[in-house]
Amino acid sequence: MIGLVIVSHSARLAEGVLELVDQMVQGDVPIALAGGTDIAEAPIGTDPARVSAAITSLLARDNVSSVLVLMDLGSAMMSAEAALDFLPDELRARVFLCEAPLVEGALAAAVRARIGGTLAEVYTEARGALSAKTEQLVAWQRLLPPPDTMMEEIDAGAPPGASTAKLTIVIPNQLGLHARPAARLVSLAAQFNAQVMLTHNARTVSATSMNQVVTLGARQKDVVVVSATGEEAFAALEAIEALALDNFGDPIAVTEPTEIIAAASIMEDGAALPGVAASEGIAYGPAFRLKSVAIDVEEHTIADATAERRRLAEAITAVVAQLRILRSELSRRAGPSEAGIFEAQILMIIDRELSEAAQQAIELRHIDAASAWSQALQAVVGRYRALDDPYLSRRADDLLDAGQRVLRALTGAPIDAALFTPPAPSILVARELTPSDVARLPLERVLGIVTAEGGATSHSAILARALGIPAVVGAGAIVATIADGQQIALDGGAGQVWLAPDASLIEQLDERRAHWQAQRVAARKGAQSPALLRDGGAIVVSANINLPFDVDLALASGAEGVGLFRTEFLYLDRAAPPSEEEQLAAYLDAAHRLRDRLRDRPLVIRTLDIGGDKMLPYLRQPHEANPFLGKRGLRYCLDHPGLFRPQLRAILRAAAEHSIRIMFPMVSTWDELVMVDALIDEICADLQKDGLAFDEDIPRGIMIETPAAVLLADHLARLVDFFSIGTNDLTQYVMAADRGNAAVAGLVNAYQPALLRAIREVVEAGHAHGIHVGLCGELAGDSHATALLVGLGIDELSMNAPSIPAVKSRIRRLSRPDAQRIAAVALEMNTAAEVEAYLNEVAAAEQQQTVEP
Amino acid sequence: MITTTQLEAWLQRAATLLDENKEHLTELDAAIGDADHGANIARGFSAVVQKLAAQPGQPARALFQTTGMTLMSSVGGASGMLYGNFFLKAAGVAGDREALRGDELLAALEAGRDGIVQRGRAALGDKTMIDAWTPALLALKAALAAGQPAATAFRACATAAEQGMRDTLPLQARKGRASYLGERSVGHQDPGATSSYLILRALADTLAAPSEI
Ligand SMILES: Nc1ncnc2c1ncn2[C@@H]1O[C@H](COP(=O)(O)OP(=O)(O)OP(=O)(O)O)[C@@H](O)[C@H]1O
Ligand SMILES: [Mg+2]
Repeated sequence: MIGLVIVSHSARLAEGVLELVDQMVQGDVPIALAGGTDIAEAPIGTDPARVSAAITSLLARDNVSSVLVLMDLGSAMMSAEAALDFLPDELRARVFLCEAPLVEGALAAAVRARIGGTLAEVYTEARGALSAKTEQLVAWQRLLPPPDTMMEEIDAGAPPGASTAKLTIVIPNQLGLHARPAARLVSLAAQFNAQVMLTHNARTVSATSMNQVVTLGARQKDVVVVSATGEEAFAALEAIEALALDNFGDPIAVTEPTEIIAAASIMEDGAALPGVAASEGIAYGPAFRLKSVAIDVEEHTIADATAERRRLAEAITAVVAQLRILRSELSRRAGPSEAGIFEAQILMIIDRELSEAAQQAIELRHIDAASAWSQALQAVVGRYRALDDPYLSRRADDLLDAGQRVLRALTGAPIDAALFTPPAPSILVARELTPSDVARLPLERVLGIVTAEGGATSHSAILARALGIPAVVGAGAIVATIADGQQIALDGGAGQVWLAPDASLIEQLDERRAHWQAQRVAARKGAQSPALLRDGGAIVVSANINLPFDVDLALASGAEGVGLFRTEFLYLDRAAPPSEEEQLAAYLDAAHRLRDRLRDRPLVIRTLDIGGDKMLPYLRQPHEANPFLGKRGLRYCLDHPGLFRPQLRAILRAAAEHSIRIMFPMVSTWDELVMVDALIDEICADLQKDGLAFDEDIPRGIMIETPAAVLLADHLARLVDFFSIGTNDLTQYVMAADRGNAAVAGLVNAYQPALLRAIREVVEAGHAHGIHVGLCGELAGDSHATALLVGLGIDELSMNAPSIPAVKSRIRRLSRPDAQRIAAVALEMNTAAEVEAYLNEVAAAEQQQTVEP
Repeated sequence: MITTTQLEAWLQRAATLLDENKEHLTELDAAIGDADHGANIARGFSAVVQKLAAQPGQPARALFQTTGMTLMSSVGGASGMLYGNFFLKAAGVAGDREALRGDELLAALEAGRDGIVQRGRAALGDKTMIDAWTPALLALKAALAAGQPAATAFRACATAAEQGMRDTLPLQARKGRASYLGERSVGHQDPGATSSYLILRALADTLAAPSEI
């Protein structure tokens, strides 16, 4: 059983607590008191010796497994901690300090301990004691502001300006206040100098805590009261009201299908298992089960709690950076709305409630960061799971997924690629796919997807649709019985899964599949032919990729090459940078995939672009006040030759037999290029010595993404073979506006006239020196901008695969003089809004004129 | 060299000085705390003096350990736990020496200060005793590094502690009982920083006095 120690300044208070508790547990729970001191003149105070004696007396009992210490404040806490110092290690490991309020916590803990609660249960119960009380008090006060803000107001004599303002909103979102709308609300609320609280069903939580907001469990049509106190209270409420009116940024019509959860009964052979039709298409083949990657942590005590806390904080920061990378990656692959889930995950793990619980466990119990995090995580996950809304409770998996990343960063547990890579093209079978799973799936080996859980709006479903993979989700618990390698079949259009398809069924499916594929081929055919202008010239349309297997999707979508291989992904989710050989294998893999189908098309490999908001857990990156203006991209790599050299060697070696080009990110000076050239010369000499094949004349290019590079473009053009304009970063640097800051988000718009001029400058400088000028930012995939970019003289547009067909078809409808005219008009405009409106007009007019064959 | 006899003399002198200033410390604590600091700390140090008198001539480690344990059990308030941990941590670094060089004593005091931080989690500027200790030890370190004799260096240390103590006046308390007062703690000198200064002044006075040996 769990024993309790009550530490208080006052012996009488300790006794009083015991009296209250015993009334409920009738002496069944072992409790020892450490109240007051032995000092006659100063009986009020605390004494570590008393605490220590109380603890040891409990541990000496046979029926006590561990002891939870509850205390009042100040020196009571210090005495309790000092007492732990005095205990021998083996006893100390069984004693835990609990931050719960003394009276409420002791009652709750004792009641739980009496029915045989585990340490974790007793502890959680004690900690929850205050919230039960809070809920009750808030319920009675209904619409009054949360007690603490009220007290502050009364205390401060309630200055008129700082009053509390309230707003009642009705949740419009079909799925309730789920992860993505909640994420938007939390980010917005945090921007104001005001304390913003939400009250729903008598529970009041801080609007800046992601986990608290989601676990409110507010559903569609529920009433939520928003209250704000502080200088900017009104502004905060206004903004929140606007966000609510905008459906919290969600598309209005999300059709959430009724989820069919099939019973785990034995299915008749040959019968179809019903699920949710998530993504059209037919597939059959061997099943491949996605193994869950639980990370084992073993709790142990640590000596230096401060260092351990720092480790945890660093791991969280690193994971946030990873998630940011994944977010931009996914928004390229599947669109910004789906990528919002990563934003939600970020907010979930930086939630103060969660990280503070973990930090406190380290501090108070001296346990390792991984265990502290894992326990705090489980507690919050439990709260999510307890929500009775199935959609919201599933967000537990999102939190768990992000939380596991933190554990991995802490323990260095590598991801075993084999767990994610089917040996042969297979149908992927999983309980539900997490965003991380999806981000690392080798898509070319996935014939189809079957999940036990999830509806048509789950990640698996949205992604499967975005990537064109047949999928049935929510097929029920019976999915768990599918064995690895078992032949299964699915029809994603009909939402059916067959666990034992027979020959005649397969024949039938074959027919349907042939029909489906023919349709798909027809749809993609247009994408495969080159992007010729009406007057004959061609624009190269290529793809941005993150991992070698992305080449397949790129080619299927009609890419003519790879204009940007972002190598950051090779460095993610691991404990050390990839070796030269590993990188070589990845570059060759990408080149082979390209070459099989498209000879002579180039693969542009961009060297590691870290820094800014992208960090890697195993690299010591100093904290920078302004990381976007700090050591990032080439700057960082030049400073860290140990990291840079293996990559350069791998690229130079891969280029020996393939049409590979190298590109450097974040260039701002001439010197940087001179240094890179010198480094490459050195490496070539080394490779020569090592007797390895390499290409010393590898075409070299740079990203144009700093204003300095724009202004110096005519000089830099003399040192390189090509330019590629990275409009995402260039926009934020030209506009001096952080793209992560919603307050200036309007400025970060690639239609800004300043940016258009920058593009024109770069193209002119590049062409004057006879070099190729491409563009690889988000703008490249925006088919409304295509005419403008062609008119500005861009030679190559490199974008995410899904955008390729639309951009190609735009190009085919253009002639160069038309495009130049459009660009000339746009360049004369004063505002981004004018440019955008004009381009929309052009597109609409074109739509009317041209009827595409 | 600073002998353990001198260290014992230091603790006695500190006890006397704290007792003389008992009322003052209690007044300070009455303004922003629970009016017990003077009584607490005077009682604690007088208990220390009694304990040490019973076991004279201990090496530094044992001397500091006895001091720490005694403070922990006889003060009753936060300062007892904090000064107690101070001496326990200092004991570990001082080791079984009979005499310490200035820099060795500095290292022990630094470990002690870290012990206060370990237990109390206060940062500089939180309006606690740390605001006296940290500048004091920095001054001591600088003086010793500049090659000044111990008497001068420890005087500089006490002077810096005094300044640190005065500098707590405008601060808002973020730790301890005074933190419950929030902004109303501004304008009062911190009692713990004051007792810390007195302890360091006792040390400077001891080392300035002609050595008893
Ligand atoms: N967390 C802390 N870190 C450092 N110093 C602290 C801390 N808490 C209190 N102090 C110091 O202790 C002094 C008060 O000591 P005192 O003996 O009066 O304790 P107290 O606050 O009455 O103790 P209790 O917590 O038992 O009420 C403060 O003036 C401050 O300098
Ligand atoms: Mg006090």
